Amino acid sequence: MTPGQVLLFAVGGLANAAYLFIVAAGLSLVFGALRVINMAHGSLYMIAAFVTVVIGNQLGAGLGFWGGMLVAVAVAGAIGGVVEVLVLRRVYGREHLVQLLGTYAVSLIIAGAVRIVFGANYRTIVSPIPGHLDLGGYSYASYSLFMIAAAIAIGCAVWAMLYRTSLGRNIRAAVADPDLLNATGVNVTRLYTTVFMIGAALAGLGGSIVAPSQAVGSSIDTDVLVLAFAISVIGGLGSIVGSAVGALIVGMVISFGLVIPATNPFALAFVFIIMTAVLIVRPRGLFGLPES
Amino acid sequence: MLKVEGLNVRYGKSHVVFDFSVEVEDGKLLAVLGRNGAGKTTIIRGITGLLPGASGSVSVGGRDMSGWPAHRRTRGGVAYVPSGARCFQNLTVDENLEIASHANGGDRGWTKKRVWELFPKLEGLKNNMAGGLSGGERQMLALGRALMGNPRVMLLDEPTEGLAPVLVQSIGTLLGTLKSTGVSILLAEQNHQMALRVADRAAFIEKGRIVEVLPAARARDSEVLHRILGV
Amino acid sequence: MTLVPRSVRPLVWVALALAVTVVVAACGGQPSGNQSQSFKGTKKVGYSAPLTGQSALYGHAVSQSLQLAADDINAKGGVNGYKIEMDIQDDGTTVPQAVSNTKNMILQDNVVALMGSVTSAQCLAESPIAKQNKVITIDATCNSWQLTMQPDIVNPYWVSIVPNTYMEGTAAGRLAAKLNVGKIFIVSPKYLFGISETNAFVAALKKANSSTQIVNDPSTWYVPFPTNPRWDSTINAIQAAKPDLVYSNIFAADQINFIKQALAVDPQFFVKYPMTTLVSVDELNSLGSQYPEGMHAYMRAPFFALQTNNARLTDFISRYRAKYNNEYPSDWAVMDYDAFMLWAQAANAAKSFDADQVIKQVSGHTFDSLRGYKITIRSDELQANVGETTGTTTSSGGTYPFPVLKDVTNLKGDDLLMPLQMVNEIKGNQCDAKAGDPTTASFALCPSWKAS
Ligand SMILES: Nc1ncnc2c1ncn2[C@@H]1O[C@H](COP(=O)(O)OP(=O)(O)OP(=O)(O)O)[C@@H](O)[C@H]1O
Ligand SMILES: [Mg+2]
Repeated sequence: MTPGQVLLFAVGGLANAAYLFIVAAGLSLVFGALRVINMAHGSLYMIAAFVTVVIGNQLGAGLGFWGGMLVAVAVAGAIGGVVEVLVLRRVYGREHLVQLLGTYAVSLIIAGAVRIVFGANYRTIVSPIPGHLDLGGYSYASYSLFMIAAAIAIGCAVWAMLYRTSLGRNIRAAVADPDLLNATGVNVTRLYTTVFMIGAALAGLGGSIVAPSQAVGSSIDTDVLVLAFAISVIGGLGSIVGSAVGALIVGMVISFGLVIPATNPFALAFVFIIMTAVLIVRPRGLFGLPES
Repeated sequence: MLKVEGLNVRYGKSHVVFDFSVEVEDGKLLAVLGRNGAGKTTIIRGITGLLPGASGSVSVGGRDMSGWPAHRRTRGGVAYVPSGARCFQNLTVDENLEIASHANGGDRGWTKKRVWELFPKLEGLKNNMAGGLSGGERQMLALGRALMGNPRVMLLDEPTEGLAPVLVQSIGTLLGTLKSTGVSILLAEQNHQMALRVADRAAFIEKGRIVEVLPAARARDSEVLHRILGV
Repeated sequence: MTLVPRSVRPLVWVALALAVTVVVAACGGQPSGNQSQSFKGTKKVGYSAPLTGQSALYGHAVSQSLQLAADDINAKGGVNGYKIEMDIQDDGTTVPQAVSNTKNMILQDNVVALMGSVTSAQCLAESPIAKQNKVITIDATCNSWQLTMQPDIVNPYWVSIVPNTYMEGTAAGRLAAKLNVGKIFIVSPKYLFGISETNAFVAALKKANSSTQIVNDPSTWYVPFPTNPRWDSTINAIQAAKPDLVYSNIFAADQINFIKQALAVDPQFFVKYPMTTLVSVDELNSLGSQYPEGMHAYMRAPFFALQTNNARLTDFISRYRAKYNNEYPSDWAVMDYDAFMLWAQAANAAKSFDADQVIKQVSGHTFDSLRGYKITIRSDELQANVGETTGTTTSSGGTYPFPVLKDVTNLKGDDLLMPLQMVNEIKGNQCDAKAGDPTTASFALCPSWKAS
């Protein structure tokens, strides 16, 4: 492998990691704050991808994408709010199985609704950031570089929200002791709705960002969920830093693993081997907090 | 002034607090005394609005707060200091105070600066995680956090539990000072000596019911104190 | 002990109720049927469809086409006097769900026939169940030749009317060989279909043009299936290898994602690295004008290449479009219409639904195909001599909202079918093969192939 090729595959791994992280960031935030595994996360992501494509194309392919993204994030956030009020409120603090069932039910409903509204056909939108970068004889898609930048920006924004704003401080306090937080004058019920809406909006942002690079169909919800959970388990559910590290590991393993003949047959298996190893050695994940 | 009328608390089917009614005037302190399991904590939490199984009415300074959720009561001037010096362990000392500051009753105007003055030790620890503090430091932080909400009413659940005598002493002094600023205090304590020293009156609880309310001076060597607390 | 805590039950019920409503609505309700007909009763024909998941696109088209076929049959009096109802169950493009659908359809719904599923992995799992219960399967999509020939897989009630991987791989190999290029890069999904078809491609290529070199290591030919939607790894490997031609049999969402992401890396990607690839109208339609021109495509039944002087197909296209929202019928829709009609015709001829009786009316018999020619089911392995269409993608000049093919060749099935001698060698276990692993069995290990 020449140095140019190493760079090529490394950037490929980064793009893959960025894609996974963008999707998993909201999942991680919601689990961290609400201790709820949101099976409907992929559904919100899917709705947003569809909305982005439909509105974006309506507004004019290319720059219309940004308008689509705005609407998509708002729609995902709003649906998140409704879901929180109608479903999640009933399952907080219950066993994870109940929560899984509740959010799984939501994901089924959304999947069905998406099929009715958007049909079975794949939809596509042209990239709002066309063009590519040529370096050392290889080409890099501008949009992949944009996705990498977007992932970094989203990671920093979520981190700053958690550690540099009063909302984030309240979220962290709610993780530690929601009762005490309530008795400290914070409306925890509303805080939870807010967190879930942010998580949903992040899922939506992910769907929007990913839309121009993929066929948007009624199954992208489950496509992404498996790997998103894998990176969350590796990095530690609930930790943004963990999700980023998990995404990097998985992205790189897939990118390099698939091109090296000796490792190709095991590349994807290796992701799950790492996941299992982490579960055995450190069940809460590399950066996760133990459950209280 | 805190006025509680007909407070009943149930945990599911089990009825734990029966018809608890008290008044605590501005600047007065009511000690709530009783054995382990008598229902002291439940009474306090019932007043905070944290228990879904509580019924009865609660008013502060004439404002009826019955039916309000806990966070509104807090913002309306009810501060709760739970037992065990509970703090947000994953937040810094500074954040633990910040989180409770919502301007209320501006005249008493508690700020972080005043809390640092009150507990100078905390200022040096302000960037530490609350989880890493000693029990005594955490209790100071819990009190400081309650004060940051500028309360008109304070509900304290065994604030001296596990503290060294010196600290117990200074908490007693602090409660005296708070009274003088007009705060109504309801204090649940095992340490009846300390409690009765600062209290104006004492309510004795047995199996979730008030069995007697006495002025502090008379409570000190009353029959009920001996009977209930076995001293 | 209750599995679902009491307080959640209402939620689950709401979800189920909604899901059911959704599915019913999505299926577009029941066709009204012909009121003047009187039927002896109703019989069901089953299809485990990928209405969701990786191949949702195909499942959608096939379901619509089968519904149309059932309506057509019922309008002509049904089969053996019975009204035929399609029993279509979503399998999410997964094997376990396809298996459970197949069991449900056979054991609970008493289907009288099955239509083959989309992926070979699913068909591989469904076939033994159908065989054990003696239910005939007419397969028009999954096409690994192993399904009809390999001794441990063969099912005497399994009929293939889709060009199998041998036929298709051969067509692709010849197509690539004609391009006479130096270096070829291979990308294929890692499961029975991909491996089977790629083996056939490589064998045909080598046979036709031995100077061609395959630049990537065989262990990197295959990508996990269903896969991560990001194709960076493959795209970058192609950039690094700089081949003259890419051979692919990735399909549905995978192909669309791969093409989109490759074009983002370089709009000239498929000019620099032209591709010989499996395509269907569904991929062309999904990408529309974004589908690159100049791709060397091989297709199973593209309506636009088969409709000239083909009244039946033209009529089918217009009725399909009228019924389904002006959609164009994909290759899958065309082939599964054939599958249903073939079964209906054979069952009518047999005057029975019994699989043994119906198979007798299939094996060695000849049927009309929407593809515009007659197809005969060779009795040796119940494979139809269906053709393959090759050509180069080009703009349709506005006729369709997607590209079509130029330089079209409609290859004849008889020229592609596996030689009988080889079929018999495979069926007779005379070819070397790694025991117990159907995916490594290659016809190239058969005596007659080695000899040729
Ligand atoms: N969450 C709960 N669910 C059910 N019963 C409870 C719960 N919390 C407390 N109880 C019961 O209510 C009664 C009163 O308990 P409470 O904690 O109020 O007593 P306490 O006077 O504060 O005791 P201590 O002095 O030990 O703190 C006890 O019998 C206790 O077992
Ligand atoms: Mg107590």
